[in-house]
Amino acid sequence: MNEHSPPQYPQSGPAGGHPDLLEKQKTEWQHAVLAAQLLAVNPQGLRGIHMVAAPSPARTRWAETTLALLNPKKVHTVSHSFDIAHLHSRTDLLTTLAEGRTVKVDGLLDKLSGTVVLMPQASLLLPPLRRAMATALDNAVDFTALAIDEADDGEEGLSASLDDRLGLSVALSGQCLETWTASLDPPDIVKKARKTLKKVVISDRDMEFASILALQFGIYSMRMPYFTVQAARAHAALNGRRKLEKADFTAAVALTLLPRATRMPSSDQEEANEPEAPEEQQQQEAEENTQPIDLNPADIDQIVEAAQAMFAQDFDPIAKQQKMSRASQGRASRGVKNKRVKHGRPVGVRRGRRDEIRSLSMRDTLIAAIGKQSIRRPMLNNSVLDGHNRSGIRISLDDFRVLRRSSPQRVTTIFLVDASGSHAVGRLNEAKGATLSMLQTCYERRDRVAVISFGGYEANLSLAPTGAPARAAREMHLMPSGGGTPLAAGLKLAQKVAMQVRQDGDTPFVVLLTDGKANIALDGRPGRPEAAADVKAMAQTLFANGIESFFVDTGPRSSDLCKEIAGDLNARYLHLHRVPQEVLHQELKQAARGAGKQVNLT
Amino acid sequence: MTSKSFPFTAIVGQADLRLALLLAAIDPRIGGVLAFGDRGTGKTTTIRSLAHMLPPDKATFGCPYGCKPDSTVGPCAPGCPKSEGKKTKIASRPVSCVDLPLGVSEDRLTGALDIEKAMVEGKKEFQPGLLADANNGFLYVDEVNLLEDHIVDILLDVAASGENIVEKDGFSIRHPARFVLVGSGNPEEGELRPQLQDRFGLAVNVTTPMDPRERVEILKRREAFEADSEAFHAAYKHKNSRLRGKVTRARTALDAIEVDDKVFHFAAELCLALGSDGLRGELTLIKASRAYAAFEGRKTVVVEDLVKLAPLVLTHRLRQDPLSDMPSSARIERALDACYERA
Repeated sequence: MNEHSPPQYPQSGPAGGHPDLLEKQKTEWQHAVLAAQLLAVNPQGLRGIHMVAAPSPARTRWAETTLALLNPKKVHTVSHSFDIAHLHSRTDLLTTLAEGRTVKVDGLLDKLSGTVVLMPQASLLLPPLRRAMATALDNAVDFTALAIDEADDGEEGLSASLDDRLGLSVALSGQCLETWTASLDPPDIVKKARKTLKKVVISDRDMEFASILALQFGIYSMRMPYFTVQAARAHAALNGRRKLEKADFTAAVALTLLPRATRMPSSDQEEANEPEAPEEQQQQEAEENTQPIDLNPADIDQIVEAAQAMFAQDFDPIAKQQKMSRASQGRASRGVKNKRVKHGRPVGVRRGRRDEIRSLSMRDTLIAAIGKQSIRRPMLNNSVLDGHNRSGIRISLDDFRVLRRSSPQRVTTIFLVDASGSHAVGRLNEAKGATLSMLQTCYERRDRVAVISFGGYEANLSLAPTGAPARAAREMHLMPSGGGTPLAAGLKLAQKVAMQVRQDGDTPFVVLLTDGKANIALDGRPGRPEAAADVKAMAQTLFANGIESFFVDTGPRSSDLCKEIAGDLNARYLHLHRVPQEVLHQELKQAARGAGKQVNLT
Repeated sequence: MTSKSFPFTAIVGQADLRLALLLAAIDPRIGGVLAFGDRGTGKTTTIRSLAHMLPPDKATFGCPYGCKPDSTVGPCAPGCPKSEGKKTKIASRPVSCVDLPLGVSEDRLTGALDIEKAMVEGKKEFQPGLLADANNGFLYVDEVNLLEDHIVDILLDVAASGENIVEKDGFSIRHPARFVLVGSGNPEEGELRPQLQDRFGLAVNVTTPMDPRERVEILKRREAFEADSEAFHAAYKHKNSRLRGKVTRARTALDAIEVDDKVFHFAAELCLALGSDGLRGELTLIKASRAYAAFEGRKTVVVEDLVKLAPLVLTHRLRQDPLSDMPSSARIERALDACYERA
């Protein structure tokens, strides 16, 4: 997104979007600032802001504005490269050695009080780090967090476990005049509101209201309605009120629930329909319970409408949900384009063995050794760094620290499934059946799996590499079939995915299920000879790249064509009909185990 | 949340999770508790609040590993007064609930050379790790499914043996590390290794409460707690201490609980019908039922106890068929019905 253009005259917005881009950006800005103000008024209740915005001057400006409002003792920046060791207090080795007394350094978690934690590129935080931040948010109330989420559409968003702990959620897609004219000084109204906050009374009815609103938006976490109440309370305080009014809820809903909604509450047209039912039921239950929850559906409608109007963004709860669920799948998502190499990326160090010298981390090994020098050479009296006595640091095998990678020996099995017309429905089902039973094997072995299907004119990555074979099973059930047999395109995609898998630190392993009758060339043109040539070339490329594979011939009888392709792939060849399932499993297990080593052609 | 945690008895809903934690607290041999489920359902709150509710532990005074004074497993590790042959005193210490951070290092977990002492005083001394802190308490791992494999391996070893054995830095130390492993997580973010899953005695699927009244009550209590945690605790003090008494009595009564042959048969039949792997299912089911009977103040285990606890004990032990849509709970229910009719 290019944000360097100056404010423009109103133009038509993006397709299906707001008619007025500038207006939208203005509303967004106002929301973002309102969120900052609410957080400044009620930091303990709201905990933080999840900001969705690409890098832009407006975003920078917003961060400045927000920090000015919050006026923290200190701002800690936690980026994805933040060293986990710095979270907890630790001994400063070098100073300790130099001064001959223990010098401790506080970890981040020890000095959170009264500060703001700024998390740029928050969606890139690795699990241990975001887990630590989430726990910190659970345990300590006196700091606030700003998570900035780059929100590139294809990327996964902020981890759901962090989002769930930050009260407010806003977005910025550009700048507007207000971005630059707003004052950086905290307005008096915020200072005053901080004092008013304690006096704002929250009635039971308010809590009932928030609770039901959250359900209406399809938000089930119990943290959210709590945040809604806290946001409404801050909003009331900002407006000098002692009681929550509809306007307070409107603002609170727009900043807490709406951005996270997984569905929309019943609209006017569908009033009598299904979404209304829980409410009626709930009212009936409430009556039985002698503790009536006095809720006027009209109130909810009004608030939802007003909040939606306030929320100028194009809003698509389904897309949001998909994005959220993508984010929650963590590394399983976006296998191909995902540049975040989590797997295989060094995530720390551990004690090494003699045969692991290659991934030795010199720094950590030295630190480990330095700590023990005084034991190893007690006569030196802590003067390890004293030049006169230096006879080199004594390092023993105990000190070796090797880079730790998340899990080095995993196999990712890529199923390449023929979904073409030549692969008649019956046989496709057989192939599906075989795949499903092989998935079982993968499940037992904790392999990761990916599914590519090819049919018609192209190949599709039906399922990016994931650790959940059950999802692959679901994909298989849904897989459509028909059209030509673009086997070459399938192989090409498999090659691409395999290389990505390898980059992630896994070993790729391709299982190809087809009758081998390719008739669509790489460029999408029909024709058997061209297609066959492309298949041969692609198969050899896979082989040349050292990608192990396994060929399951699904044709009615075993064909030389398939054997040839298997030969080009240097793949183990099996004919589906001729082998019982157990053999298939055994073979697959063996082949996958051998992935990385040479597999002989049978 | 401030220094004080939410009172255990003030938690609304989550009956299964609370029951599972209480049973594990009554009889730690049941094994740990696994809580898988949605976000924001109060998993963490419930688990943390438990340790505060439980009666304080008796430990050897001055022992860095918190060993039990009456332990007969031989002397404790160096550093413990018992191992040095000194006369020991008994200290009362609150039940520990140790958080295991995801990025924990091996040294921090198992304990390692005390680098400070080594550098400053030139002394070689062992610094106990989190496993020592968790002894006789709870070891809590949030997002346990994201824990790294080599850490999981250590946990599995120690959880199985009840002992932490350290052989490094020239140390050769073994100290008791018996803890109730409590894990929570969201299965969407990655599945749990079967070996680890199997280690958990009880598993609970935590779902978000869908009853609006329950949800409102949760909000109200949270609000009241945040507004004045002291007053809130005072309001639940009586309830908490009653529950504490019940747990203490159950622990004493545990050994005297009788289990009828009929009950054993039922457990065996049920596990056979479900085809759960190994015998751990039956064993845990019986153990959990004894704890439950003790908790309920009964002297014998009845078949109904098994029926109640079977989902907690067996759901995560069924051989999972990733391709079947039938949830484990439904399979258990069906098997229960069948076995119940025969009995």
